This record gives sequence, C-alpha cells and structure tokens, in this order.
Amino acid sequence: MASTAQARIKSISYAKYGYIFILPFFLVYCFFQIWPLINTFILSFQGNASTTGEWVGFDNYSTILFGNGGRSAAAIASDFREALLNTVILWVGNFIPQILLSLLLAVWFTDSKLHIPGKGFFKVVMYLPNIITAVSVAALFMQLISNQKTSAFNGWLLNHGHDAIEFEGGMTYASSPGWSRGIVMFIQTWMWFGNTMIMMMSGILGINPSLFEAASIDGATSGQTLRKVTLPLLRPMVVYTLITSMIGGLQMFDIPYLYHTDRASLNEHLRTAAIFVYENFHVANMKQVKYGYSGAASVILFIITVILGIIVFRMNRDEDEHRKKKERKALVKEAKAQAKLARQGGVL
Amino acid sequence: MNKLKRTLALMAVLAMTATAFAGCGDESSSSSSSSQDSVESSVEDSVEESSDEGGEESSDENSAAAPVGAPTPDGTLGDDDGTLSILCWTDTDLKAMFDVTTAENATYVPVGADGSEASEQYLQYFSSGDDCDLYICDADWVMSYENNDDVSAPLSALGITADMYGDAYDYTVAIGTDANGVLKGASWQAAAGGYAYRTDLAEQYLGVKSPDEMQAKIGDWDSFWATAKEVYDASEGVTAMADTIDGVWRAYSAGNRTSAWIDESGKFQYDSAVTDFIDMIKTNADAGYVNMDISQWTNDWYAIGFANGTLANKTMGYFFPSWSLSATGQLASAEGYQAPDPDNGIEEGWNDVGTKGMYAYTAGPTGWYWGGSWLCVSPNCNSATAAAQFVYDMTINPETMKAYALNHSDFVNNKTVMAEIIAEGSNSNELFKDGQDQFAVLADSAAQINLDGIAGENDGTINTAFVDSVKAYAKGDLKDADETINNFLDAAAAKLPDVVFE
Repeated sequence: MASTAQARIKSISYAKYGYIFILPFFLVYCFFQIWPLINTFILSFQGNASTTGEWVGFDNYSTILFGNGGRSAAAIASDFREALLNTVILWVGNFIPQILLSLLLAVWFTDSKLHIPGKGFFKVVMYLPNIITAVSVAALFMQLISNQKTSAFNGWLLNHGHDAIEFEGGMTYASSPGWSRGIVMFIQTWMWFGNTMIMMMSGILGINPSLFEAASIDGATSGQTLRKVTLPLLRPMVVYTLITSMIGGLQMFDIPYLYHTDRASLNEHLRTAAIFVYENFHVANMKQVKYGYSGAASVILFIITVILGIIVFRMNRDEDEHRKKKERKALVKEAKAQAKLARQGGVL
Repeated sequence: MNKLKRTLALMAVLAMTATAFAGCGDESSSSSSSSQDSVESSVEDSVEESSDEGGEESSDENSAAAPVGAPTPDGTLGDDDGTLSILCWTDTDLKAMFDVTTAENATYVPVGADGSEASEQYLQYFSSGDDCDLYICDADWVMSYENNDDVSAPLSALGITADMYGDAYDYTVAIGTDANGVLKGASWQAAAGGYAYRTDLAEQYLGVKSPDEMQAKIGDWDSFWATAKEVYDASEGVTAMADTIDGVWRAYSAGNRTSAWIDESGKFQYDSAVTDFIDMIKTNADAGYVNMDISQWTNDWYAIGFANGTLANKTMGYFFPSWSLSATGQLASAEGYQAPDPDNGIEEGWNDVGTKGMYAYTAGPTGWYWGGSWLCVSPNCNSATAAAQFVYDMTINPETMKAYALNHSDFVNNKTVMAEIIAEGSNSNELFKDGQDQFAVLADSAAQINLDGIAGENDGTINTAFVDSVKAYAKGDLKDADETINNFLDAAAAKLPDVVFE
C-alpha cells in the first residue's frame, strides 16, 4: 500500500529545476543570438541612408541583385556580384588544395606500414597556424609578402638589384588581381589544413582495421587500398568537412579584409560577401549607413548556404538506404490504406 | 539540508544570470551611480558649494595663465563631473595641450583607430554611454557630426560664440558652423600645407641652396613638374619629385577645386580640377615624377624620405601640412623617428636614416590645406566649466595658444599669435635645416585658405574613391581618363545611396 509520503515523492517534479538551470542560457541566447538574427531579416526590408527604418519591401533585394534604379544601385549590384564571385573563387581555391593536402597527410600518418618518426610533433606543428588569430596571420603575411617595399620578399629583391613586385595586384576590380587571391588562398589553406588533417585522421582511424588487413592479404596495393577502402568509407567525414568549410568559406572575412597595404581602401579582388555586408553598415558618416543592403546581402548569403547545404546532404545520402526508406514508407502507406478500406467495409 | 540545497541552487542560478547580463548592466549601473553621486553631492555640498566655487575662481585668477573673460556655460549642459574627458584618435596634441591649459582634471580617451575608422569608434563610444565631454573631429568627417544634433551640442552652451573668433582663420569657423549656421566646432590649428624637401638632394641635383631658391623653382605646377624632370634626370631615375599621388591630390584639390562634390540639391558634381588632375598625374607618373606605388601612412611612405635603405632617395620631398611638422609627426618619421610601440617592445627613439635635420620647408606650387581638427561638444557633456575653459584656452586665449604653438610646433588658429611668433622669430623647428621657422612659410597660405562652399560632409569617402581610381589609371589598370572618371563615380555612388549620380 502506497503511503502518502510515497505519493508525494511521485508527484515531485524535478523537471522545473532543470528548466530553471538552463534558463540563463536561453535568455542570453535569445537576447544575443535569436533577436539579432530576426532583426537582420527585418532590416533587409528597411531602407538605407536617409530612408533607414522605413519599410521598403523587396527593394533592397532587387537593388543588390539586379541594380535597378540609377548609378548608385547599379554600382551596389556590381559590387555584390563581384563580392559573391570573389567569395567563390577564394573558397574553391583554398578548399581543393586544403582537402588534398590534408587527405594525403592523414593517409600517411595513419598508415601502419609507414613508420613516420615524430608523428605527434608534425601533427602539432601543422595544427599551430590555426591557433594564431587571423589578425596576426594577416600582419605576418603583410610583413612577409605584400606591396610594402619593406616586406621580406620585396626587401630581398630590392637589396639584390631587382625591381619590387606588386604582390597585391591592382586595387580596382578592373585591373588584374595579380597574386592577391593566390596569397589569400595560400594563407587560408595554410591556416586550415592542419585542422582538416586531424579530422581526416580521426575518420580513417574509425575505419575497421580488419578491412585494411583483408585488403593487404588479398594483395591490394596501397593505391588500391586508398581508392577502394579508405576513400569510400571516409566519405561522411569528407562531406562533413565540405559542409563546415563551405559555411566558413561563405563567411570568409578576416584575411581578405586585412591583406592590403593601402591604408585607405581594400583590394577589390578580395572583397568577399561578408566584407560587402560589413562595409555597408560600417561607415564613417552615419547618415550614409546602409543597413538595408547589409541585411539583404546577409539573407541572400543565408539562402545560398541553405541551398548548398541541402545539395551536399543529398549527395552524401546512401542511395540504397534512401530507396529502402522510401519503399518502407510506401508499404506503410499502402497498409494504412488497406486498413482504412477494411474499416469502411470495403467501400471506397 | 533540503533548504540548504535549495538556497545553494538559487544562488548558483542568480550568479549565472548576473554574470550573463554583466555586460548589459554596465552602462545603466554607471549612469545611475553617477546620478546618485550628483544627488548626494548637491545635497551635501549645498552649503559648501558657494565657498567651493569661490575658491576655484580665485585660484583661476591667481594662476599666471588665467585668462580674463573665460566663458561661462549657459547651464544647458551638466557640470557635476570631476573629469573632463576628451575623445581622440591620437594623444600627441592633447598631451601638449594639457601642459598649457588651466582646465581641471582633463583626460583623453584614445579610441585606438585613426582615419574614418576613428569616426566609427566614436559612434560606438557614444552609444556605450561612457563619459565624454569634448571630442576631436577630423576635417573629413567633422561636418557629419556637426549636422547631427544627437552627437553635437552648440558651442554657445559653453558660453562660446562666433564673435570670439575674430582672430581665427576664417575657414576654421566656416567648417565649424553647421548647416543651420550654429557654431559647433572650434579648431585650435590652421592646417595650411607646404612642400618639405631634402636640402642635400636639392643642392646636389638642382644646385639650390636656400628655401627661397627652391620656392622659385616650384612656385607653380608647371615649374614644379619641370623641376621634377631635372631631378629625375640628374638622379638617373631614382628620385621622384612628389611623394605620393594622394599627397599631390591633397595639395592640388585644395588649391584648384571651386565647387563642392555634392551640390545643395544632393546632386553629385565635379569640376575641371578633377579632369585636369587625372591628366596631370598620368603624364607625370608615366615619366616617373611621382611615386605611384607608395601609399600615405605606410612604412614605405617614410622610407622613401631616408638617405639609406632599400628605398633611399626615392622622393625629393613631401607635401606636408602644418601638423605633420610637429616633434613626433610625419616629418619626424621621415627623418628616422621611431614612435614607441609598447605592445611590440619598441621604445621611442631615432633610427639613423641619414636625413635628420636635412629637410627644409617651402610653400610649394599652391596654397593648400589638409584636414585640421575641430573640438566638438558632446550633448552629454557633464563638465561644462572645464570644457569651456579648455576650448577657450586652445582656440581663443592668445597666451595659452602661443605657449602651445611654441612647445608643440603646431600652427595655431590665431592670426595675431602667429604674426607675433613670426615677428619675434621665436620658433625654431629642429627637424628643419638650421632650425627653419615653418610658421613664416605657412602664414600666407593659411590666410588664403578659402573653403566657402567647397567642403562637405562626405569628402573623406569621395576623395578616397577618387585617388584609388587615379592610382589605378596611373598604373595602367584603367584605359583612359573617361574610364577613370567612371570608375570613380561608381565607387563613390556605391558608398552614397542618397546622392544623385548621373
């Protein structure tokens, strides 16, 4: 027989303490994350400069996408198109070498047949660039290789009687990008390949070693093992890296923004979409602030990210599994229909 | 036991919530505490107040530099804060000012950025609600602050009126006045510019021995470029006459532009100075008379003024305004001055670059000005008396202004004071050969500066867009002058959505 005490214990709900404990996090999260997010959407429907705060509907979107409405709008639209293109070029140019390099290193470091000495040391050293803040990295490369005549490369050239090289190319979009994009791609690759390599290694180490054993017993060469065993089983990890890198790449900001010698203006070949967003709300004269364009560009960037994310997820889907799932669903549906039919006594 | 647990849990939750909102709470708590202070002090000191004030006044009167007729604030601004906080992007001028002013408890708040970035930092600082009584504005963006009543109060609130500026250079008052004719900014300096050149190179390549001889060779733009050819040929292509395209534009635009970038109806316009400049730069950059791959404010900019190193002798001289000639200014950097950088363990000092004291100053091909700084009053000013004293000391009071001009080598905004110093010959700038007095060179240029209807609030943005395009054209990235103009208009239009571009 249950005593009243036992009944009381049953009725005590500890859940509310849980809610109280996580409340601070949700308050902070709503205040600093959710509200700014919603506000971005709201701002994207409001005006710029003198019309800041007024509702303008889809005007900002039509301006930055199609440039209708005078020179200013056309200039904004071409800036945005250039920014998107720059983003894609810079991202592709750093992702491909990055994934190839980290894959190669990961395979080498995990291969039990290769006894590479000092693996731990290399792992640490290769990861190190990722620890340095982007600002320091940019400053480092400005001192190493940039338009500055006092940078290491140009200093050496000048000291040896050669002409200095304009590593940053032309500043305006009409001119040649020169080495600027290449250098930024290199910096990004250098900063992130260590991180990707660690991911790949954990992926490879997660593969059942007996598969590698079986392959080697069957006389597979290391190339065959790589192509037929490692890579197919590593696919989820590659896709994960692709998605995270893609999201990061679309938001690329710090290195391209900081890599320019000219104090007053940045290199237009390095103006990414994130920099476009930043430049439009970050102005010297607050009367010229363009929250609307910034908001609209952010939302467009968000939509692009979502679409690309969905595509990559689809690519990664196990087709067999997916087909089976569909079939299962169809079967369930049919069974339900049958049952319904039976309930209704065979009358449709 | 249970109670204890509950109490502990509650405390933990409260502590977490409190820390989570610590960042937001800062502003309100500080403002509330300050208002409490003011209430307390007004209650407590109500008796002592009169005696306190009397004491202050008498001490002011007793001190030697005490001015007669220091302005009294009209009471619209607060006056209960002990410190005078001045927002700035560089503290070098302010440090020198604090030596001469009698304003009490003056402190400066550097925002850690310069150029138009400083302006953004100011706005952030304002919205943070921290104490700010006065702030310093650059010529490029001072008008956007003056025309915004949310961030600037009229100087009359400090008891300072336009008629006190009879001795000031007219253009400083014109720029200090907002669109409605209210005086909102006061400048302590007149930023007239000239041309600082290397005396050793001038003697070697041109046989020039004095600034007067040099001035005769560069008195207008035609002779300037003709001399540039002489220098270029004599140095076998090493030495360019002009430091940067930016510098030439600063000088050329101030002397030749006749209309504002944006007219009164909000339409963009440009005059013949713009097209003339494009042609002039292209011709002379192609010939090697301008360093087209050097930008202002970079290390390279200073290095081209050295006599040794990889960029030795790359420029004959610089277009420098008055404020570049102070003891730690840009001229000093071109002579090897090393600014202290505590973060990187660099101490203040001088590098041996072979040009210390080798420069001389001339008026150059045109009278021009570059920037200047205006003191503006924050509407949230809460040290009105000290603020009024400071503005008065630095922009009106001849005695303190003279002391500042002599200590800091800054060209102050007072015609009488400057005439006095020049007549006395009491200024000697060690950065120049034989301690040349740059004030004498600049006096005429400063008096001639006329910005009526030329300056506008978006000049910084527009000038940057223009110089970028001209640089691209000089390097051959843009085909011709039309494309340069087009590129410039696009860049400016993208930044200024409210302005009508054709």
